Amino acid sequence: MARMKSWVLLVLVSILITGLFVGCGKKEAADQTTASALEAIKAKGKLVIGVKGDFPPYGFVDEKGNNVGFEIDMARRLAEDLFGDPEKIELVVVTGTNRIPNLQSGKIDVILATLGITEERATQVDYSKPYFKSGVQLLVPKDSTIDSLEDLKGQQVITITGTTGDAGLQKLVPEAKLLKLATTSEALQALRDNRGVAFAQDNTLIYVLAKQYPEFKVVGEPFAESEWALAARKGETDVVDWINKNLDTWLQEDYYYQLYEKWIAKDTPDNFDPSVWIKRP
Amino acid sequence: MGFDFNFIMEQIPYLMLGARNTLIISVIVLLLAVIVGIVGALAKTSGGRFLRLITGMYVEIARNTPELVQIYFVFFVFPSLGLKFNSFVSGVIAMTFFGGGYLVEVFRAGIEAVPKTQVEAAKSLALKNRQIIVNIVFPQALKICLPSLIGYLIFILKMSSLLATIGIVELTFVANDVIANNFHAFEMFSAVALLYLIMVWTISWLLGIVEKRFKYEL
Repeated sequence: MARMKSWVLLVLVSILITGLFVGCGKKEAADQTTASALEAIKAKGKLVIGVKGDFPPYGFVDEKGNNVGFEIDMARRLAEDLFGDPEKIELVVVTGTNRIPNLQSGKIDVILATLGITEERATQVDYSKPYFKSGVQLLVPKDSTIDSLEDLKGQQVITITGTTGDAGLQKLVPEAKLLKLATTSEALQALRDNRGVAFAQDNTLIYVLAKQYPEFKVVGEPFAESEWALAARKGETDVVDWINKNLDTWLQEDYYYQLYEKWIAKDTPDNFDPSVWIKRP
Repeated sequence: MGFDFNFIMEQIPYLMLGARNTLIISVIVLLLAVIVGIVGALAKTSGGRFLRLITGMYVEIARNTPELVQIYFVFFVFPSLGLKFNSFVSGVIAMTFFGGGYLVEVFRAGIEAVPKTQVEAAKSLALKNRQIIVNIVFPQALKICLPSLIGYLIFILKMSSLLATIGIVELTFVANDVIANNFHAFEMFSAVALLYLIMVWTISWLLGIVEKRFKYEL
């Protein structure tokens, strides 16, 4: 009986060891392909790109079920540059939590999904140059005298729990009292009822709200800024270089502004200067 | 998915702030709700027809609409009616409203369970109405309804977790706030559940002592 047990153990251990070697072998193979990751994409005949499906106007699904948006147009231009055909693309809808795992496991070649640059993420992926910049600004009633973060000291400010506005304000103006709520509609109602002097939230949302509800206006310099970039697997520098080359061209062409006009301009207040978000030549 | 014990240790001051606020608001609400419950029960059992109707309507609304809706109503709707209270006061008002509604029925059931003969005996001794209620009916009613009263007081304490939605920094709010920034849901909700358990156990233990004394005295 004892001999039988050790025999089983031996088999198990050998299976484990074999598994270990096979695993290593695969890793080496993967390392080799990264040397020419761009060639591998070309050989595949299509660019597989991770995009947002629920984040209008950047990446969302229209009423016909097509992926559309600011970032989707960018993705198609990348495919056009690589294959001469914007349709040689596979759009994979990703979420904030699964976009990096999807990239690392090879399900997608590139992330183009409102991905902000952070130090933590930079250890996981290689970033391109940024194509968009968002930050936190303040939504206040039209007649408010609040003009900057300084004015928030000792005042009650409305935020949404866990957002960059919430965390950033806590750090920059610890003297402000925060009324933390769960949803945008609650925050707006609280602002209407003067439960706080301002609502601090990401400016991609704040300007849209200011357009939608003319009783409010946006004030203050953006803070807790976050730059959005594309990301490729760690070490795939040829992919990143190729993306950066495209981004440079787009900047010269003022393509970001065209995209802004096409997708975002209708939702922002009159006289809004899009250089808050995008670079222009 | 590991359990990061050190993380909880770091959060203890914030958790204690939340626990303190939960206790403060619960104690205030419990006292107010007991007063509302007793007054309402007396109105319902020995008040005039109009008073009975009003109390009946109050109890129906308080018990048959969701607690969360009542909290939102006080916080988001009252301001349009010109009644603006801060988060804390709004929370106390809403919780006293539904807590009181439940307790009216608890006390009413207790009062009605006191045998009629007790009242008749008191009347035959020429006691005044007030004396009958305060000295004869009410002490006996309290003894009868004490077990279910304890249950509802614990229910009210737990309902204070809903106040996180209007930004009151109580225990559940603290958990949500920390998780939103640090993603330690396992640790935070475990810690918060444990703290609620401790609070509820303490309250039931204290009320249990009261219950025992009542058994001897009456």
